[in-house]
Amino acid sequence: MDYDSGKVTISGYDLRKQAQSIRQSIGVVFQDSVLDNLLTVRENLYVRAGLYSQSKSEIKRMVDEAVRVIEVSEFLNRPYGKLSGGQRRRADIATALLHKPKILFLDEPTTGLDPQTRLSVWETVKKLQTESGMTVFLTTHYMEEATDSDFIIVIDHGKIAAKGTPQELKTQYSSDSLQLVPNNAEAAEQIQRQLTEMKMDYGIAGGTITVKLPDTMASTAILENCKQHIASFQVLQGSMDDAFIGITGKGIR
Amino acid sequence: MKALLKRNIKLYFRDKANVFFSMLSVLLIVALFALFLGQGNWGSDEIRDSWLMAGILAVAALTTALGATSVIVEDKVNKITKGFYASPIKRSRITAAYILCPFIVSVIMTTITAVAFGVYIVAIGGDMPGIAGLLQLAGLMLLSSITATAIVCFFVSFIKTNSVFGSVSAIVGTLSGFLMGIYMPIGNLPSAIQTVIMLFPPAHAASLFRQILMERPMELALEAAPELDLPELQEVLGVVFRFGDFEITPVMSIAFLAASAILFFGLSVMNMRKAGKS
Repeated sequence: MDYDSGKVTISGYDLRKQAQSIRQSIGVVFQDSVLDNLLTVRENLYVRAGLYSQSKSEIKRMVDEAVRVIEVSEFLNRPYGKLSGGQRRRADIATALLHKPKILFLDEPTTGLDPQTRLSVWETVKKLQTESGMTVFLTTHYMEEATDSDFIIVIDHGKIAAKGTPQELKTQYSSDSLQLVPNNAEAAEQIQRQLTEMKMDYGIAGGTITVKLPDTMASTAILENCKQHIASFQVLQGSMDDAFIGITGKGIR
Repeated sequence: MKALLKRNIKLYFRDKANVFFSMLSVLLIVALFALFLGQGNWGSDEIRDSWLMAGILAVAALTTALGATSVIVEDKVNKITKGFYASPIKRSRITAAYILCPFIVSVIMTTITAVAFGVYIVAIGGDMPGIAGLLQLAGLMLLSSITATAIVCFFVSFIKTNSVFGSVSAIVGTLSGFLMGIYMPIGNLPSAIQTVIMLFPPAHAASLFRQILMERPMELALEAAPELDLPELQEVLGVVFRFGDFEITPVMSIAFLAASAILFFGLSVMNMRKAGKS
């Protein structure tokens, strides 16, 4: 795919002039699989390694290394088409790592996986990243996955809507909140009066009053003022989910 | 490229149903012959059997090459090619692996067919062609596989879905038997259809196969029955093609096969390149 304007540089190479060098230094895990269902995982790995090297010993070394790192040996000789979703993903990642790329692109790698498999995929990716120091470039819909990254770019309708570290985004786009459970209906009214007086933004749902906080410390003043009316309380820190909604707008378009 | 080529060939042979269906036309022709096409006046049994073998070799080259191109369509449908494009391998190598695969498969499958049929013919007391004949046969098998590959690659380069590929396979499987004059000897068909057959390159492969394989049985039949009208029989059976009074020589058939191979290779490479870019 070509681009309209600007300049694209991937690990120091220009996309138009040095596409070959770029391909040598990236590994890609596609959203849907690109391996052959009829071939075993081992055969698949050998085919893909053959795209990077001509030498037999080199290919074998690449496959052995990827098999060791991603731990796919238990289903190495089974046809790819007969694997479970999580096993496939692991095989996909092993394929992308054959040539030791500097950047690993993961395109929604955990979509459609059960929570346990998702966790194991993430453990693998994190282990890889810390051990080899490669850059992991990830696209995802799951905000809790993004929370663990070093840098986040939120893209909305094809345009960059926000970027920064997870902490920066959370501080900038989400707010902390305080949840109060009043003693009784009368206490609830008292609390509301108090909050209006303090000019706080709040809402009530299911008998719980949720107060929007400028920062977590602001909760102490409220708690101090409403102490005698509260049965229990909870201070919630803004999550990436909130930040995401804050960035892209609340309504569903 | 070696890795990719090996993959493509492996994928063809791993899909047993695909292998079976790409040989189905051949099996059907054999079955139809055993049941009723084999009856009638053939001059001699050897003539009939070698005539059948010639047709089958020509059909097998085409249908197995087509079967092996299913990899191209599957890769396109399942978007497997994007995995290759993300690796440093050159596009031209990918295309080359796609085109070489059906050729190699076609050679392997026609060789197997030839050996199997050869064993049968020898077993029922027929003669093997001599060394020169075997060499001619091998050369012709290569040429017919090349032409068949070029033709199927060209058509397959347009196909974007599995269902279209399935339909095309079914049509080719059925039509090829007619277009090579196997279900019915060419002499029994109206002259307009004879012309169509002569424009179909693989039909020339069939006619050349007949010339090689039927040479000896024809001689034997002539010895046994000198009153046999050999030129007439040759024309009816499609051993030699004639346009009115004009007889197409083997060299012309070979040239026609080679020329169509070059033409279709050129066109399919052009088309695959265009498709690869988008």
